[in-house]
Amino acid sequence: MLSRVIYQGDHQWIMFGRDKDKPEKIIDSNQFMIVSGDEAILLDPGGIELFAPMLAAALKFVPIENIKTLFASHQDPDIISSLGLWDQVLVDATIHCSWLWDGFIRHFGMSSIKFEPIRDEGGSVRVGDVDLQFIPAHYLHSSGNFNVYDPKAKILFSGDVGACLEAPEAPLEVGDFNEHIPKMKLFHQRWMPSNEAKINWVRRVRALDIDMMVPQHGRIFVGESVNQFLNWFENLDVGIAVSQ
Amino acid sequence: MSTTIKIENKDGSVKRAIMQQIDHTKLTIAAATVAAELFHAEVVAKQLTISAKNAAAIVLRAGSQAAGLSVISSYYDELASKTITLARSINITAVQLSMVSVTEWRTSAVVTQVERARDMMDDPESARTVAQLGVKVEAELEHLSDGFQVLLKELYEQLDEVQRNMRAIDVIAVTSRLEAQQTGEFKEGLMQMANSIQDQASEIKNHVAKSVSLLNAYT
Ligand SMILES: [Fe+2]
Ligand SMILES: [Fe+2]
Repeated sequence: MLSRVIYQGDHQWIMFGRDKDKPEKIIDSNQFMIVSGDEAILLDPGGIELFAPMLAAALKFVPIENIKTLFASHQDPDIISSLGLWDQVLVDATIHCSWLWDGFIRHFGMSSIKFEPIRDEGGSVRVGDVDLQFIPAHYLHSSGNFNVYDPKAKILFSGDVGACLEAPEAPLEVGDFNEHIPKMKLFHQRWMPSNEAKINWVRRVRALDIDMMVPQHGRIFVGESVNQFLNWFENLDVGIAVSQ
Repeated sequence: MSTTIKIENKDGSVKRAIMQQIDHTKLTIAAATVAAELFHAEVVAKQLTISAKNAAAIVLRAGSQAAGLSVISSYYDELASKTITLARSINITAVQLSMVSVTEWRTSAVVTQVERARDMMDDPESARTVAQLGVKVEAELEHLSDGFQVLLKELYEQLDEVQRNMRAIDVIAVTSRLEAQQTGEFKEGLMQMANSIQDQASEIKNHVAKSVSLLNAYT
């Protein structure tokens, strides 16, 4: 599994993904780890099949006892079906996820990790010396859904928003935005159910100072491509399955 | 490794107890940590090739004064390059080992669950079916643990090879310090080179030693 430091300041953002050894039919996903001091948080730690490579990749950067916090943007299997395995290897860990999924993600197996529900309006968590904000992104695509914003690094982890599927050898960053559109279009139209939720999200995210928007699948948006994405997404008609 | 004891039940089903079960959780972490250790060893091995090239450059400048050192410096380079390749392949083997360990861990959970299911059944016919299922899963578990052993052996051999390379570097570092005595103005530079090469080799040795002791602890 590829690992790349995407932000290095007084804390670190590390991106994991493009796993060329993963089973063929499993979709590729990006996992992120934020490290500050001797504490680390995993954002959308991934599916059960990715657990071992993900663990090995994370331990390149921190010892296991430093991973104290998990975040699940929503309840999907590609996000958090590895929970039952992390549950056995982490000590005194807490998972932050929408209150909606409390009784659901426990089906992945959770006996030692503590569930910390995020209320609909959002919330925050402190990891080492960094304050991270949970930005509501409900119905994009899950009904209880959050992004993570790091005001210091100016990075927004956007979950499935901005996602697309890429080959393992594809570049990490979005280059020409217009060329990138066809890869994202159907995904956003079909997976995202609500135009209202989308417009509400775009309005709130525009107010944030963002250098980098990093989704859970595919390439990351840097600089101007963040705005290009917001403009494109704002005008995209989503929830198409019912109108067909 | 685990030993399976088979106990015949009255209804003909077979109950198995896995003795001395290895701790899959700890082993998975150990294998993942080995992968991470070797990732760091590879970084040092890359520095080692740079040191070897620097040493070769000084030897070249020293010309006839350092004739005895020219073979040695190319030997450094060769060992360092080999170590990079080895570290990379150990990293891959260790991740594979950690993956097999997770599968074993999940499969052994299935064995437990199947046994639980069987114990909940009143109807002997269905209980037998579930017991057969249990036998199948256990066969799979045995197959996995065979594969695990093969990978583990491979990993130990690779780690051992790195240690042998590092010991060889150690020995030639001592020789090159002796040879460096006769190189006049180049002596200081060559001594420093030999020292840093030796430091890097011992750093790699530490990563490997840590890996071996982790594996020893959990297998
Ligand atoms: Fe999803
Ligand atoms: Fe996803």
